[in-house]
Amino acid sequence: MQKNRKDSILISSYARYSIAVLIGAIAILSSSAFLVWVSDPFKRLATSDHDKAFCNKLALGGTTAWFLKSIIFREQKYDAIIVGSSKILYIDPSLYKYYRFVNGGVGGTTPESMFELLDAFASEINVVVLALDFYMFNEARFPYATDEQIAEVRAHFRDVPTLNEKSYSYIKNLVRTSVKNLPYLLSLNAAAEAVQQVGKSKILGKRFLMPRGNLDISDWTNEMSKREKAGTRHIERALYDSQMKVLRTDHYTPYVFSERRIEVLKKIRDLMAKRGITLIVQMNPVHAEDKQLIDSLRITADFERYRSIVREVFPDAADFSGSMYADPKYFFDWDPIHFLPSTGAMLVNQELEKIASEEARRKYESNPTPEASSGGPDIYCE
Amino acid sequence: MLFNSYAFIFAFMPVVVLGYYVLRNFGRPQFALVWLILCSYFFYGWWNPRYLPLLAATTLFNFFVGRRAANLWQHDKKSARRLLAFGIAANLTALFYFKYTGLAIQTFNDIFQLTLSVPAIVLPLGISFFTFQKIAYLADVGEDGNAEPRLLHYALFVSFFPQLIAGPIVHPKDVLPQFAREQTRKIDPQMMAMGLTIFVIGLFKKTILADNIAPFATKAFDITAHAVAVSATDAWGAALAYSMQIYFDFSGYSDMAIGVALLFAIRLPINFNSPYQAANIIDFWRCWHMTLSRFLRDYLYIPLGGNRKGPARKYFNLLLTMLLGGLWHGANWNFAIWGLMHGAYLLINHLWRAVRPATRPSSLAGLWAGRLLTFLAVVVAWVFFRAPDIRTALRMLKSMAFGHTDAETTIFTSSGHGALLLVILLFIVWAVPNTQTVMGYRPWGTSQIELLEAPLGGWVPDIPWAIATVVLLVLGILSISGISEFIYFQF
Repeated sequence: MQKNRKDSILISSYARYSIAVLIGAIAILSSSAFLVWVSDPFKRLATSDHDKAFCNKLALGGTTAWFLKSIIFREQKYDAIIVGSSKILYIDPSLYKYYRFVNGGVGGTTPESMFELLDAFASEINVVVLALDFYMFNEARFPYATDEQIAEVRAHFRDVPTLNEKSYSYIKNLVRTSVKNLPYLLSLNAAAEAVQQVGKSKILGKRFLMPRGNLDISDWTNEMSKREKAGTRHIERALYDSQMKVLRTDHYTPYVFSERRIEVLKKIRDLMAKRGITLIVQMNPVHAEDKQLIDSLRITADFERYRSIVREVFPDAADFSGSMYADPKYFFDWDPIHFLPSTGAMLVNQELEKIASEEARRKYESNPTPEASSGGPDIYCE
Repeated sequence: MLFNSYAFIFAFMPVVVLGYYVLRNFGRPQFALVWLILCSYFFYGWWNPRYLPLLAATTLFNFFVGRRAANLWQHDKKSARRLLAFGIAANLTALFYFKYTGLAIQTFNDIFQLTLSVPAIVLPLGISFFTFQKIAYLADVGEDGNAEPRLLHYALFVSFFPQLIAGPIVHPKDVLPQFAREQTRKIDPQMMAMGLTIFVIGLFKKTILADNIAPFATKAFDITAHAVAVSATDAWGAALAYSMQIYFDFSGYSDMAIGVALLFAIRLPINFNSPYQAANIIDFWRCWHMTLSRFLRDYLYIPLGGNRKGPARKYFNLLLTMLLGGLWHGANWNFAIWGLMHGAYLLINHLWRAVRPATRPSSLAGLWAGRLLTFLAVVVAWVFFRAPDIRTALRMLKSMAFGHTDAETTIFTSSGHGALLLVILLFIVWAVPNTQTVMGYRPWGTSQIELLEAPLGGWVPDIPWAIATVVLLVLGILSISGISEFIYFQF
């Protein structure tokens, strides 16, 4: 009996046992913390004023997105910017005609954040496209930035790190955020939730900002095609329903129209005029079911007010929020919020046709396929 | 600082252990002791540095009283004893001031209808524990006239952080010889491996078992405290849940203390020995908070006369000891009632034994009948221990006894989680061997050097043990996030 017992002793010393236990525990805990950090299942990492002001819904992704966007603006050469929400974030800027765009889209953005971005980075350029959404005027769900938050963001944009400084700042930010959120990163509930999220979605770790600021969605589309082939479209329906829930609970309930943001629109208009930049304003398409939801929630009056105020401030604004582009064919099958990149590019190109200068047209015709926004270094986004 | 905190696990403990062994192996051994004392003060001051001078001053005071009494002992034992009595009285006065002034004034106000203001005195963390240790030290000097001559060793005996705040309450004889032994100045991989494993078991008990059952008890007691009756199921569930919570909380803490001390090659006495498996209340007190029971027996019950002055005096001594033992837990009459209840249980048990001298049940059924009866009595007493006031306790007991037809609470029936967890915990306390049995930890501190050098036990680290320890450690750490204090910190 004693011999058998001894035979089973594969760890031959107490010291090795202690070391094995410590290394094993550290490895598992680190993996768990990393998983929680990457997926942020309960959105607890959005702790900075920066996030609260400018990325209400995106938590750490927000911080990272703004942090990286500002670097992209610093590093890239561009003569046009498109700013807006996640709806334009997916669109490769090389799909836009005539100008070299960078993508200034950030999920959950608001007019005041777009103003700060343009104020900091839209100088000596030709065109700005301002893509607006109905949710942006809901102060109940997307609170207006405080003076302190705006001051913080201005300071951030003023002192954008270079790519060389990026790693250090990023690591510093990572360490600071991680230590501050240790109880969350090392939480059993968060770990379990993160594992579930990974199980539900294969996209974890595959969402990257491309060099010109757009989000790479090739993995999503590949995944969806696979599902379509496998006949698992019911999964898409589940995703679709969850997006409808996001609209209902996170975007529209409750809805308090923001009077202050009308003034911000005017500020953007005046800023562009002062700098001699051509401004294209578009109201993004609204999916038919999204519109039905707006009606069922009895916020149609607010929706119509949004449309009329935008037209009032920007008489030339292109209004795509009406019925023409409500057709689901313009949207991802699994997502009533986000229209297809091809839809977005088509709409912007329609407007660019109207305003493109002769010089821009000449340049574009001599080189119609400028460097596509792919193949560059991947930058982690969220 | 809590054992179940990130600061302790990821920063304090690794730094202290590393610093200790570096200093011990590459510096002078005294430096390692100084390091441990400084770290212990840091550990204590983490909670509130305001009371560090109190800890330091009382340490110096007791050390010099002990030394002076030992000197006097050579030629004037009477004066030595008088000095030691003064020292003990000074310690008790400090304890009384911090712990019982409020209760005394409030009780005075209630009895004599006065309105004397009750001062808001913050209770220094662990004062009940380290005061008892200092008293034990002075009392031991009064036995044989031997005092610890080295201030460093004495200061470490008082402040040694694994047991500083919530015990185990150590006798000077438990640890002072260990500080002095050469063996404690060598790295002992067996002790470290065993210490790590015992710490992990304690952490698991605290963060997974105690903290997960706690909300059920808290909810029912909170509802009852607001004058709302809970159903009989919930009342019993809450009483049982608290019985499990306090056991896994405190025995988990004790395991962690023992485990951390082993990392420094110091063996602390065990505090729990499967108390809920006790077949009678006398056995229960031999297995529950054993170091407190030992202290109360050696320094209160026996000096009061113990059982040497006839049965009536014995029972009186028993009741008084348990009453004071109850009050030691806190300045609240609930604790006094809890202590008296246990005093009464013990008295009944002793009377029963006088009638039926057999101490061991002869059959399995008899054993389980004894266990269940003892457990029931202990659970009922815990209601007073847990409730914020006597009214709440009585209301809870009423719900347990008679139920409330109009009570619609469903704490334990709504999801079934609470009931399932209770069943699992009851199984553990009744059927699973305790930590020291599993680990073969033979700890009882003693001045007999040969016992200290005896092998630790038959625990052998193998791969299943390593896997189990990793799993328990990971689960324990991942469950820290809702950090909760140990129940016994408040005492």
